Amino acid sequence: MSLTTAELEKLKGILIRMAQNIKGILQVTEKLMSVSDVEQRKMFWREIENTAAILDRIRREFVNEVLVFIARRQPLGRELLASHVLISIAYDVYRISRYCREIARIDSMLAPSSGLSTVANLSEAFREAEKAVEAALNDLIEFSPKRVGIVNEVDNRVDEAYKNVLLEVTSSTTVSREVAVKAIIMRHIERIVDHAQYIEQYLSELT
Amino acid sequence: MYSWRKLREKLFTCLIIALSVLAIAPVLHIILTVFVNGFAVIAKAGTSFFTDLPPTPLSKDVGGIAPSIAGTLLMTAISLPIAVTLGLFAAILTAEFPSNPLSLAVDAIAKPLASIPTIAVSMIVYTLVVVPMKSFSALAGAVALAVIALPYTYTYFSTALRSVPSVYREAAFAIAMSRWGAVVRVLIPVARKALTTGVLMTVARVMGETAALLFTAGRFRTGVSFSPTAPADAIPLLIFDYILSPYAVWHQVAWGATALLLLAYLMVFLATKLIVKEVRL
Amino acid sequence: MFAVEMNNVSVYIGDRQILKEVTLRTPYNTVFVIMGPSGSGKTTLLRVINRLIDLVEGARVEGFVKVLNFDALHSDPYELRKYIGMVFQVPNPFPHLTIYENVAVAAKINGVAKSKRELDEVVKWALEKAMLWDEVKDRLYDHPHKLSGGQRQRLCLARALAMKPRLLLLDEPTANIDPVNARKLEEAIVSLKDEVTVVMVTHSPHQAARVADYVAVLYDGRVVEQGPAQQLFLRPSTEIAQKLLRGEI
Repeated sequence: MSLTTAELEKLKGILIRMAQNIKGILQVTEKLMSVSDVEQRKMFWREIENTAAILDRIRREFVNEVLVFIARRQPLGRELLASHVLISIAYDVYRISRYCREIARIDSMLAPSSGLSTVANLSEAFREAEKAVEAALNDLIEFSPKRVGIVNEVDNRVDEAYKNVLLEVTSSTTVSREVAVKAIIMRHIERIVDHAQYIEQYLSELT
Repeated sequence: MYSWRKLREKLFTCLIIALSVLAIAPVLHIILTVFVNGFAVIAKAGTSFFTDLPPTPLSKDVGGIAPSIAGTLLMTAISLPIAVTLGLFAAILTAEFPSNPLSLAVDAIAKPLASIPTIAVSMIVYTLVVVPMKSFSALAGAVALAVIALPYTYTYFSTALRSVPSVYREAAFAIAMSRWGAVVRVLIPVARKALTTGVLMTVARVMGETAALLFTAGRFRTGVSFSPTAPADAIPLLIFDYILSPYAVWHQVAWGATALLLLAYLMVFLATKLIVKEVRL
Repeated sequence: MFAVEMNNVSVYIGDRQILKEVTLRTPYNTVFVIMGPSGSGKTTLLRVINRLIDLVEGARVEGFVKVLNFDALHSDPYELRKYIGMVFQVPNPFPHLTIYENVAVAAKINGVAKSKRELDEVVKWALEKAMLWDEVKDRLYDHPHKLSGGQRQRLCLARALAMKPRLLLLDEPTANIDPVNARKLEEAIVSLKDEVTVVMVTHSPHQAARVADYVAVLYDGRVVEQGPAQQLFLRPSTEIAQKLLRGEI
């Protein structure tokens, strides 16, 4: 294996480890949608906030490392594309964590009187999104877009659900707090699935 | 160990120096002997050495070698352009068209031609030139000299032209020079030092040749002649004849002539060193 | 319309086949780079274009080659070469001529300049284009052995340009010079394409990436891939091209 290939593999490894973090953050975020105990939720908020901050830092450092790799090895062809894809996917992973953070923030604003657990059907949609992200992460490990079908399917379903919520919002003159919150959260979930889809797209550029 | 290595190195250096001295010692000895003996004669004769006729065997006067100087100059002047021109064109031919049958033939003939005994050349020229002309002549001598010099000029010139790196030929063609243009504007100028050296080596060769003139030039020593069709003499011929004679005064003349010949050589080589600048690649 | 067009060109030297059915097209006013590992036939390909292949003993060319408006294989090579400049792998300015004469001789032979004033102008123009003028303007009558290797190579570029060629062939022009001079030469090359079409041979994919508009990949005498530079440097379609970009062959 040439030095270029070896270094590229190392960078992939860093990105995969970074991506594993969002599995955790997604699981915690999902719990927010079923737990109503405020003390427990406070713990979750903190965990989400911390993980998102760490991911942001890792991403910055990772991008630097990829740039150093480009400067040193001056990759061309597939290696150059791969470098670009690594940076892009790192951004997608980071964005997913940011959306989780947004969701947690909304939940914290509803506390203590209310919470996301009171909004109907949210956790179902979020589990769909988790499934899409999971598929994208598995593809990232294999570095090939094998599960692009699953992700696209989820995207269609979540998109449909999001459109229905929007219809609900636009069809009446007044909107309840529950519907408003649902609309915002659904939008974030839809964006999370979009980023999973981007990851798949970048991976398919390499083939 | 260290000192042994140093000692060995010293010994080796000494050996090299000793062998080198041994190699050039005879040459130095010859040059010194010739100059010491020869210049004594020339000094004794004064300028008349260059203008007078050779002495009679029992003369007290050293006299001069004017007929031989004139003959050598004349025959060199006739044979050199012939040998140089033919040699140069043959060299250009074989350098430019190495696989042409004519080139192969020229290359194949040049080497054996150089090794034909010069006395044989003299015989051949005798039958081809002297017999039809019914007399010895400077022309016959010059033809013999040209035949002998030709393979040498060819070899010098073709080595010189072939030693020009091919990248310059390519560069010449790449700027749309013709074949002839590349030869005249690039090949010859780049090789000019080696070519000039070749010409001078030929001059030296022609001036010092004896056997080729034995049956061709005739030994005309009773007057100074610059006519190509008349018999002529040459310095080496005179040296050859006089040194074999039993007369002391002729031996002296031979020493003087030898010194003169050697001096001429040295001047020719010095001149090339000073005049022709090497093309630095 | 193409500056160079090759159809099924094969070159044999003795019994060995150096180029195998090469087909390629060079658009006008572009930098066309032929990339390949050493021994792949790059230099031979270049020499077919200006018929320097004729100098190679026992070389035989088959196929169709159109260069500018010439049927290159069936034209007078001396006429053809008037329109084609060339810079070689080893800097080869004429050692017996001065810097000025080296450039001027190319202009004179091709009738680019008639008067001494015109000649001066062409020499200055060519040296400027080759980015050498500032370095040699005060010593135009020095001989090239006083220049550095990189300067000599730029002098060769100036000599080629002084012919006012329509096509410029470059045979690994930076292979034997330092990076700073190589960079200058590359800049000169890129700036030239408004005036000439450049066909350049290199084994360095990075150099190709810096200067090329179009790239052909030559491997073992065959063109295995050719196309716009962007496509080739990001998405090479053959394993050979990919390996070449990685520096593995």
